[in-house]
Amino acid sequence: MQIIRSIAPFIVSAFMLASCNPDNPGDSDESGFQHGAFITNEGAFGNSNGSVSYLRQDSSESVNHLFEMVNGRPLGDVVQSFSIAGTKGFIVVNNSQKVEVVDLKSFESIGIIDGLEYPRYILAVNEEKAYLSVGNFTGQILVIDVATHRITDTIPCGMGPEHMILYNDQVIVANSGGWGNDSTLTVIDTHSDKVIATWNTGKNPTDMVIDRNDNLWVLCKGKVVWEGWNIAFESGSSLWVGNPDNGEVIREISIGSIGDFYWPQSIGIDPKGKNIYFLEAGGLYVINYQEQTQNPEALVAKTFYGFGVDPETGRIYGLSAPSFTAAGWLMRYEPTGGLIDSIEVGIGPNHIVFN
Amino acid sequence: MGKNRKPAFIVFLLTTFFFRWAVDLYAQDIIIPIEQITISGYAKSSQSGSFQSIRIDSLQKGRYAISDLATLLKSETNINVTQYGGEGSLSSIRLRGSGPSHTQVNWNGIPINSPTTGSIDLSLVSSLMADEVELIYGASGSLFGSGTFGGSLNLINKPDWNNRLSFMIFGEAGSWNHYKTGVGVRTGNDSWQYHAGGYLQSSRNNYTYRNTFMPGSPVERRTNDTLKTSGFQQHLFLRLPRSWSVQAGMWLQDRDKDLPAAMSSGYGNPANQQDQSFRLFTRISKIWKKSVLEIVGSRFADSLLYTEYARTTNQAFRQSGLYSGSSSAGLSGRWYPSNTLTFEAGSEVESQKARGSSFTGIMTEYRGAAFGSARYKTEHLTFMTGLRQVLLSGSQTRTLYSLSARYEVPGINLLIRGQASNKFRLPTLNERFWQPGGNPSLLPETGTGVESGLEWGQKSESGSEIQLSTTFFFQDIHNWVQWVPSGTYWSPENIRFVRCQGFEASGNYSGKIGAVRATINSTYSFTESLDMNILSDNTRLAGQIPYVPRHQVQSRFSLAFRGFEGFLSYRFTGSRYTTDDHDPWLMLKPIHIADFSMSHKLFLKENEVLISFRVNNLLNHSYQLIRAYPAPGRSFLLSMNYMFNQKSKIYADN
Repeated sequence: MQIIRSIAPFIVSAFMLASCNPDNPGDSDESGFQHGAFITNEGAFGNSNGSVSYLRQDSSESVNHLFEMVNGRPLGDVVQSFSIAGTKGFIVVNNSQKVEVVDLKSFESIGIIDGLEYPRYILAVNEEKAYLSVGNFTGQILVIDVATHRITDTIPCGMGPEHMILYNDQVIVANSGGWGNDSTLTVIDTHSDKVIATWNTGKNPTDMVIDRNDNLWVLCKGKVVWEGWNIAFESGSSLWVGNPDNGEVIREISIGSIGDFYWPQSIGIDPKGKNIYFLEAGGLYVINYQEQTQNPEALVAKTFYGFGVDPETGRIYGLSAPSFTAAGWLMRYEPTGGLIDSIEVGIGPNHIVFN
Repeated sequence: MGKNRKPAFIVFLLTTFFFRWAVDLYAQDIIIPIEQITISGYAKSSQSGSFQSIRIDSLQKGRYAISDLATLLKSETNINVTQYGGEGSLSSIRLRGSGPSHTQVNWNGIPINSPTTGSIDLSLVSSLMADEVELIYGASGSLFGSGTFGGSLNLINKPDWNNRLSFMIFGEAGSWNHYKTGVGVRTGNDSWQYHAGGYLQSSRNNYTYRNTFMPGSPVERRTNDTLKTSGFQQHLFLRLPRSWSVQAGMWLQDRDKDLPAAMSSGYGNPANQQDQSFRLFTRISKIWKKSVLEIVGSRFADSLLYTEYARTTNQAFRQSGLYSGSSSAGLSGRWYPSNTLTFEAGSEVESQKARGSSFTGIMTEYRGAAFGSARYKTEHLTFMTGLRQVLLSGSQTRTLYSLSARYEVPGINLLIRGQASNKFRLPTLNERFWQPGGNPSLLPETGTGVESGLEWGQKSESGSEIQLSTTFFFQDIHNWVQWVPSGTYWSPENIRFVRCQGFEASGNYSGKIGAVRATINSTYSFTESLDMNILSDNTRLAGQIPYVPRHQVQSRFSLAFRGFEGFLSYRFTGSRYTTDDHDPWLMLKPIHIADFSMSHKLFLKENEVLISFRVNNLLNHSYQLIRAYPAPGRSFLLSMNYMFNQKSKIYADN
């Protein structure tokens, strides 16, 4: 182990050199980790074995344990998400109640925002400011100064805020209900950092995309009633489609079924804004932005823990977590669902970000 | 019943019913009381086969007069015990490369493993509850029943019919506000003996550790790790007319434990767990000239209340309770047709029940078994075979067998032993009925194991003694249950095929140099526990399963002189994987632990006082038994054990 740790910087350097693309000056070793896909592997809850994997889209080999390799210490427990703001990366480590800030070029740690309560996702509002969703019950959006990593303001929102999306001068927050229930979106003005509206959606909205017609697609995981650690009741999930200017509902599409014990968490869209992908019981599904009902047949009939869509190629990056006691897999698919390759990543891969 | 036995019997009954009522009162908000019964036969002891075994004697127990089994086993044996941090934290035994639910823990022959998890938290079992602790490696399924891939850990209470009155007071203080006190009394005569004892313990466990998850690995102090525990046990032994005898025991324990976060989660919500246990058993025996009849019944009940508090408001916002119980009854008979032959046959029935927020109602399972065994024993040769037929809810059946033999080679003090047996473990109530994810169609884990060993010993006229032993073992475990993700919840599946193999070697020397007695003991174990599942490319993984070290060493050295004793021990535990894919980045480093103690025993007429000073983790080694849960560093303990009537056996007597 000591040997591996001592030669880790050389491994990283060698990888970066080997990945150098002469046709694209931006992909040189000097760019470090600024371009590529970042996969957060949340690890097994309570086992503190979360990690970040890095992959260049033109490569079929990933760098796993990137943070520990560079910084010489483990990342923490339940690595929830990764976001980029300017030249910095923000790694949200949920059960370690912190955000690790890294320099995107070297991936060296340059700061920690700690003492957070149930941090989930970060959205870069602009180069100076980012929003962080926190809270498993009554939630908040924390305003973070990208330069100093300090929390400068707090914005109240609904229960269990998760993903956020930037639309013109407003940020829309999905209030997923956390460990309770909610059915709203909170809309924040990015200049004043004030809540300007609250819109009703389907039950427990969790993730969002905007299609080519500027319609807002909200993935609603359904209502879940908990008794202690256990589920007393659940309702079906849905896709809520609305107007991102005023929150008016356009249509709501039922997906999944009651009793499948599946609460979808991830939605994505292709580069053209035409095909919306989402996870449900049975696999990865796709729906055209003009369709009114869900295609009952999965595009990829495989259970994924998360996924992403390459904004340049439209390829689908499925994240598979067959067990939380061993490494997971990143499986790349053509937009039509054909498998391209599989790449080993860390334990419990849940989120992917392209840069 | 003779007139002189009545007071002891009445005291036993009154205290038993009082504590039973207290447990029900505590649990009534979250649970429904459940009946439970259990039965066992004489076969559950190291004498019943040719197994490798360890017996922790009174001298060893004396160093840990009132201690939990996790501490006792970690310090006095070379077995693999994992623990989530400091004293009172969840502890599991992983014997011979098996899992936590693969070692059966028996209290006077009756399994006390949890019906919901199949394992037992060793930190919940106090050494006060037993007079002897015996560990049998690889105990066979035909003799012991379900869940013995690793072995069997036996807690045994026994009377000393020569005792008239004994009394013990124990006190201990140590680092991190550790306080412990206990009392014990034993009284009786040739026809009855009554034992009772209780203890109180508290510790803040606020030790310091290196947080390797933070930049620079700063030294931090553990928080929210306070432990408060108390326990009471009593036993009644009766010799009745016409060769009838009765043994009855009761065990009550309460623990209030704060649950600290992993070192990577220092800002997490504080949590607390309260555990209560009530255990009661009765064994009635009738002895004839060449036979014995035994009837055993038991009733166990355990409750657990988990509470999580909001960090900012300290208000409880998440709570779950679990109540489990079991009842068992059994009947067995032994027949000795000659001096060399013994036959035993019997049957047992058991009901296991659980209720809690994770179950939809009261989950119940009934089990039954019929068993038989035969033993042939001469001066040098012992041969034994056993057979057990198990009946489960749903009409499933299992047949278990065992063969064992031992031969003492005349004239050279050499013992050769070997055994072969098949084993199984029934799915637990959690595995079958947990909501969501429980899998009612799980199959039992099954496997077959063999072992062989050599033991050699020599005693000299000068009083020195040397013993050497080695054991080789091999075992396959099929259908090993593993919880795996299934959509957005987890579900148990019969996934693993694990091969456990290795050997254990030990050497002991004890001798006198003038008035000084020196004792040296060393053990080494090599354990391979290989995941043999077939991969997608048709090859086998064959990698070591998590939290099983390949190498373990323990050496102990003591010097005793006129009531003084100095003791030094060293333990080495090799590196351990923490994941199934053997990720080197997630390995735990090797552990080197040294302990030191000094004690002095004063004799005051018929009484004696034992004063001990102990340093645990002398070298202040920083280590983890479970990833991200720091173990304590160096600690100091001062204890005093005051015993009256030294001629009688009493707790921690040495």
